[in-house]
Formats: sequence, C-alpha cells, structure tokens
Amino acid sequence: MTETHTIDPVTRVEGHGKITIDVDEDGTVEDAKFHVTEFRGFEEFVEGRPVWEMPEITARICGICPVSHQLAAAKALDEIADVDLPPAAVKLRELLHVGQVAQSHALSFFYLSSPDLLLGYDADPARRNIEGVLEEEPELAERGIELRSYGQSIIGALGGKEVHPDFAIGGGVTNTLDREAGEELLERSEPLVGYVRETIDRLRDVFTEMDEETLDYATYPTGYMGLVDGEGGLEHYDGDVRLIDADGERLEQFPSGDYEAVIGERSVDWSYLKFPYYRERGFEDGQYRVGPLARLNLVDDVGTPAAREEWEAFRDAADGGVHERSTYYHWARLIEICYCIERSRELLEDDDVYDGQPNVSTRPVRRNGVGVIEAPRGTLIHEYDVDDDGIVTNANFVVATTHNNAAMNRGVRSAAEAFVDGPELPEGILNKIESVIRCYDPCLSCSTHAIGDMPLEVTLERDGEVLDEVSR
Amino acid sequence: MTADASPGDGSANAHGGGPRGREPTGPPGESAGADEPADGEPVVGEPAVGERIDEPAADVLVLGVGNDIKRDDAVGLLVADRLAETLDAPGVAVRAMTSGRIMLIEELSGYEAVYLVDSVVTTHGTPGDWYVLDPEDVEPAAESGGVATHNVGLGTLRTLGEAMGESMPAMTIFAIEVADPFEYGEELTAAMREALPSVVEAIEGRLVEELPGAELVDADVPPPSDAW
Repeated sequence: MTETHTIDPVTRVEGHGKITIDVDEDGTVEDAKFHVTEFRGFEEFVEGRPVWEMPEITARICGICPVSHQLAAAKALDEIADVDLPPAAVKLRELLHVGQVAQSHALSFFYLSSPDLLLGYDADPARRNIEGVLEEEPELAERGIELRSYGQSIIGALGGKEVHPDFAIGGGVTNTLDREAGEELLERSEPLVGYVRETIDRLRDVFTEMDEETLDYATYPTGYMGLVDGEGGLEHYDGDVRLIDADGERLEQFPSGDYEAVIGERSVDWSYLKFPYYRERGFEDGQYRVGPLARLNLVDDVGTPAAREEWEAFRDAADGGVHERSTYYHWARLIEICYCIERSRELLEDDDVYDGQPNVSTRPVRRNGVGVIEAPRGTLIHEYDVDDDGIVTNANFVVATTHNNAAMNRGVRSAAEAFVDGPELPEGILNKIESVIRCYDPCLSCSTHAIGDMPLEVTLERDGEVLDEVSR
Repeated sequence: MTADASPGDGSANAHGGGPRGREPTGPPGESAGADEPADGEPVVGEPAVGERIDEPAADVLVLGVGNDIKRDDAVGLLVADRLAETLDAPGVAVRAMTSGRIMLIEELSGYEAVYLVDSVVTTHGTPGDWYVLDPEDVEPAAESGGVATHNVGLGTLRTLGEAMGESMPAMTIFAIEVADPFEYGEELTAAMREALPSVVEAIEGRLVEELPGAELVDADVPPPSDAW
C-alpha cells in the first residue's frame, strides 16, 4: 500500500532557538530575549558512567566540534589520574586542537558570516549564502573552503576519522602522527597564511565601508575571559584563565580548577542555558564574553609572527582599550585562523609529533578533575567527580555558548532597539538581529543530521499579544 | 516547507540489528591505551564498522546518520548497522556516521549515488512512518538565515563539495519519523522500538529493488529486541 504524505514542515532534528521582542504602545522596544530551548540533560546522562569513557562520549555532544569536548574531558582525566603528560602528547593534542579551531572558524566566517558581510545584510536572502559568495567572490570562497579543509585534514591525519576522532585520551593521545601525512600537511599549508591575511584586509575594507549603525549595533561593554599561556600570550589548549574588565584591566588570573570560586551561574525559567557571571561583581555587573574577540582583547601577545602583526593592528585599532563591537568577532576569528595555521606548521616541524611518546598509563587517583580549553567559540570547562572505581558521580560542563549567553541576549536587545520600529519584522531587520547571534557562532544543539532545518522563531509582542511572528 | 513523499510499505516482520554500542575503551580504572607500551607506537584499535578510512571502493553508499546518544536520533545508525549485516549488493558500501551537514562533504565524495538514512520529525507523522525524499524536498527555505553553522542544506552541500573539487553523488533520502531525537539516552522510545523492525525491513526491500544484483542475507538473524 502506498499513500501520499504531505510533510509540512520537514523540520528539526537540529536545535531550536527563539527570540522574543517586547514593544510598547509606540512600537519602542522594551525588552528582547534570546531563548535556547535545547541543550539539557547531558550532565545527568554521563553520571554513573566510567570516567575514562568521557573523551569519547562527550565528543558526541556535538557533531560539529567534537574535538573540543574530547580534549577538555581528556584534560580532566589527566587530573584524575594525576599524571604529567609527555611533551609529545601535549604537542599532538595542541595540533589536533589548532586544526579544530582553524576549521571551525573557517566554517563560521566563510560559510556563514561572509554572506552578510560581503553581500550585505539586506541582500536577497536567496543569494545571501555561501553559494552567493562563490558567485560574487569565488577566490575568497574557495580559499575559505581550503582553510576549513586543511583544519579537517589535520584532525583526520591524527584521529583516523575526521568528525569524531578517538584520539585524545586520559594520559595523552592514542598515536603519533605519520610523518608522510605531516609532510603533506606542511606543504599544503604554505599558501594559507597569505590567504587569511588577504581575507583580513578584505574584511577591514568591509568594516571601513560599513555604516556606523550596522558596525555598532551590537556594541556594549562587558568583561572578557579566556586562557593565557605562561607569558600572558594567546593560548587555546592550556594555561591559566584570565578575566579582564570592560576597560581591559585585569580582574583575575587563576588556575582553571578554581573556576567555581570565580564564576557563578544563574538559571532563568525561560532558557535552558544558564547565565554565568563574575561572582565578585554580581549577576548584573559581572557579565563577560568569551571566544575570539575576548581572547584577543585579553592577551599580552600572540606567539606566531604573522598573527602577531595582525593582532597588533587589531589592538592598535582599539586605541589602548578593548574592542566592544560584536562584529569584530569576525576580525578576531580570522586572526586566530592565521595563528592556528602558523602554530600547526610549528608543531608539524617538531619531531616529537612523529617520534615522541604519545601517552602514559592512567588510573584513577584523585576524586575530581577539571579540564579547561579554549574551544573555537570560547572557554570550555569539564569537571568530573568520581568514586573509587572511577565512576562519574557528578559532572559539570560550562560551554562557550553558555558563557556568551548574557552577551547574546544583550546583543539581541541592542539590535532590536536599533532596528525594530513598529508592529512588523521586515526580513532585513530580522537578519540583522540573527546576525548578532551569529557573531558568537553558538552551538545550540547536538543532533547530527543531513536533513531538516534549524528553526528560529522570532516573535514581536506587546503586553503578551503577538504582533508578528516569523519562523524560519 | 512542504514536500510530498511516499511512505514505505511497513509490513511488520521483526528483524533486528545490533545496537550501535561503543566498545569499552579500557578496563575499569584505566584509560584506553593505558596498557599499551608507551613507546611512540600507535595504540589505535581496528576501525569500527562504518568508519571511512580511505577513498571509496564502491559506487554506491548507504549512509546512516545520527547521534547514538540522543535516543531515537540513532535510528539512521541502527538501520545502517543492520544493513551492513543483511545487504549483499555488488559495489555498495554501508556506513554509519555520527555527524551531519557540512561534515558530510568528504564522506559523500566520490560515490555515484548515496542513500542517506536519517531521522525526521514532521508535523503530522507517526513514529515508524518513513519517506523517500530528494534533496530539494528537505532543503532549508531560501530565506532561512540560520543562526548556527549546522544550517547547510544538501543542495548547498553539493555546491560546496563541487567547489572543493569533490565529485558529489546523486542523493536519495530515507527519512524515518521518530518520537524523541532530542533527549540524551541510549534507548529508543517504546514507539520507535516497536516500529523500527518493519521500517528496516521496508528499507531493505526498497534497496533490493533499486540496487542491481542486491539480495538479503542472514535474514534469520534474531532480533535483539531488548537492545532496540
């Protein structure tokens, strides 16, 4: 028997975001909120499981950035096992990580954000996508594709499969890198720094030509948080956590295991995402941002030559302060791609990644472990409590999207206040509001699909009455 | 978005594939690799079923997609695991992949044709309904801006793959209506557990019809219904 079904809509298997905008009688925005209706329950899911499973199983939180979770979990296991890693293991993990950051940033900038920036926020939505960029600026688009592909190839060369590599484990990594694969990557990486720098030049031209209102519609003061290395330089894999205020003054620098003493989390009834804040300043005044903009705002140096030059130009443009524009996340993201390419080349030229000792034996020694890394989107924290048998009794994850939750809400409100006027939501305005969220490139879900859409519902309300509603 | 689709014929006759469970990565109290000599030698195990480690040797790929720790979201993986046991077709590879969207480019590249098996939630569907769709049926609406990098349709995927110099295949989608692909868990919902055997059988039948020289083997494998 065959019958015809009408599927309306083919939807979701992705996460789900929702924005509500409240306006008064005059159409003036009173409030705006970005609700995340997914991402829940993972901490409970892992309780009762052996902690040595965590690098592999937490990687499955996300089909897009599994490496970050795997590394954070592996670092927590190192603490639980109380082991020092061989130098090769650290370098191999860092190589995996810079590959991940490069590919993720390239995905975010070239595939998702460049259509807004290069084609215009008000461009025909049917063309305002990577295909449109391929038509308008094919060289730039193809370079973006190659940059992402290079990062993926690093992950593939180390992990054996490119999406969910079973590579980082407690005590190190599973294997060293094949030298032939490393040499291929080195050769392939040669033009990439040039690609990124030319794209940065292109982006700066875009910013120069951009009207002030668009450039500044999501600009606001916050603190900034991220890892730094021993000299205060840019660091994605390890180091202390630094927190600065809205003027760039250092508030805290602490070992990652102390995060709970510094960072509080508040729950609200309208979002599954918690709202972290700097405890000492309280919820209202203690909001901060993480991710590429935060990292480049708070470091004292960037450790590779081309990226250092780009960062110095970025820093100088802030006139001695910090950059508050959310739109500058894109600029910072490109500088970090440059750093990751250069850093990958340094690591690929190091014999340790081919011939070193990849791991040490581990057994549960301590009852608690914290692993912190800088995921592409910002600081990622994994903490596990275990019993004598290494079974997880409690877990806490603070993901980058959570850290940025308050900032995303503030940005949505800022954009709504700037552009919403009246009882309707024109498409171009809608896209500007969405683009604020895209600056932070949030992970909203963890389903992994080939089909379907990721609905975003935007509702304009007055005293609870829905004036306009858009779902797309 | 609206799409017309024909559901498969779901005559029930339970067959089961093994759960896509993970092998323990190490004995209790030790991490994976902990017993291996720490001398720089790789400690990678054998590739798991479904992992792609090199260029395709087959012309046709049957690819199950999903997240095996999000309840019904695992159905694409379970169907692929089952088909790996039962489907004997020349030039056809069966794989499972726990990622999607843009990450599929490299996975799909080089095949002439790909059958994607995925879960779906529709407005009026019942768990166990399944639909045969073309990529354009499930392409996100043109005006959909999206807020996360996941939001790439299969049409865009093809364009991007070709821009990357990849050979992108013709695609057919077997979308299986599920009840709960949202919560974390390794067990299917009761509704999906009940419906899945007939869906598997129907998809097996469809593939045998479509793939030249294909036949089913090991059809007497008992259904591990407890695991489903």
